Amino acid sequence: MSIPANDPKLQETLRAVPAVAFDGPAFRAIPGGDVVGNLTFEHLWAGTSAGRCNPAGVARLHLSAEKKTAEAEFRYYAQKGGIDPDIAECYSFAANVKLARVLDLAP
Amino acid sequence: MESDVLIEARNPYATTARGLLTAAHLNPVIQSGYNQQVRNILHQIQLPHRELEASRPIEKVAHWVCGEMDKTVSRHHDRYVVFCLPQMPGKRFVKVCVSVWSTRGIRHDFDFANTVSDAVARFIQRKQERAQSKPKLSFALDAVPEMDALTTDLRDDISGRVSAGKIVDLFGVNLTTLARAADMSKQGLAQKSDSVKAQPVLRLFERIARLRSHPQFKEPAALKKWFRKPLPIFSDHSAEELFEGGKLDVVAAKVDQMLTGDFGG
Repeated sequence: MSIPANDPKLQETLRAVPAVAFDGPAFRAIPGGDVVGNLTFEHLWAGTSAGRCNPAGVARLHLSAEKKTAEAEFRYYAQKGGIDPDIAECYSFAANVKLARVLDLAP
Repeated sequence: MESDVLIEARNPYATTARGLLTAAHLNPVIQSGYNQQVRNILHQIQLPHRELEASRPIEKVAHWVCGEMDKTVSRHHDRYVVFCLPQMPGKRFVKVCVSVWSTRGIRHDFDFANTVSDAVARFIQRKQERAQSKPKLSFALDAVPEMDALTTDLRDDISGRVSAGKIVDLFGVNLTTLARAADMSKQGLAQKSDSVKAQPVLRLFERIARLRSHPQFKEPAALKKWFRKPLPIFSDHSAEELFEGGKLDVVAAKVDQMLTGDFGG
């Protein structure tokens, strides 16, 4: 995403589009190894590199509404990244999430 | 690699360019197999005698210059080229510039210079602009204190800084390429393996080495193999290719995201 987060047109569009509230559990699957045991919730969104839905410099918290989606995503991206998902350990975490405004980008 | 400038000029301009680029802390590159990776080109447009005649209409000179530009740009796709016309009197030079810009429009992949020193100044400016526009990456795992223990073996025992020699051993990368990425000479990096100047690049390798936390990469050979393997996550390029293309930060960011299950990148 190359549009700066403070772009006035982007800000205006985000304010204008319909949004819904979300209150419920959300999930994330994390590879095993020495990393996972040392992570806290805050670490999960400490990176600020650009992503599919956020420009560089704006933190994102990547979670799935369903546990099986999180685990399927882990397998998909592990394979893309050269990690064999069949021998990779994977830990699923749940977080209680309460959001006032969510933009549903699903078609 | 951002500092490399390929010189396509004849003497005495080539010699002058080499000296000025070095003075500006840029790396002059002469014709070699390394050409393919150099992003900046200083190209002298060698005007034939006829095009230098004062009576020659500006539009005709500009047309000839455009032809030379097209040939050069087709050889250096997706590169930044400064076209230098050192033989042309200043007044005619600016008139040619006006004519070329008006037919080609303003573009960001080439510039004109009337002198070699002006051309070098444009590369300095370009380097500064790129450095300032590059978003600063932050890595989620940098905030986890326990991560340091994963890569202690890559650090110098006395200074605590990441050692180039240990990175070369672990990833099997070429010291010359590593030195170039750090804007250093091979000899300089070999003599001072934990150089402060090289730390930004070496720290990126250190972050990639966190993959060893994964059981699949415990053996050094497995990490070397991964580094050379084209992967869909890098658009079917290998991490090594991205490194050689000056994009090691992309590799480090992807590794950080993979290890934290952040697949929104």
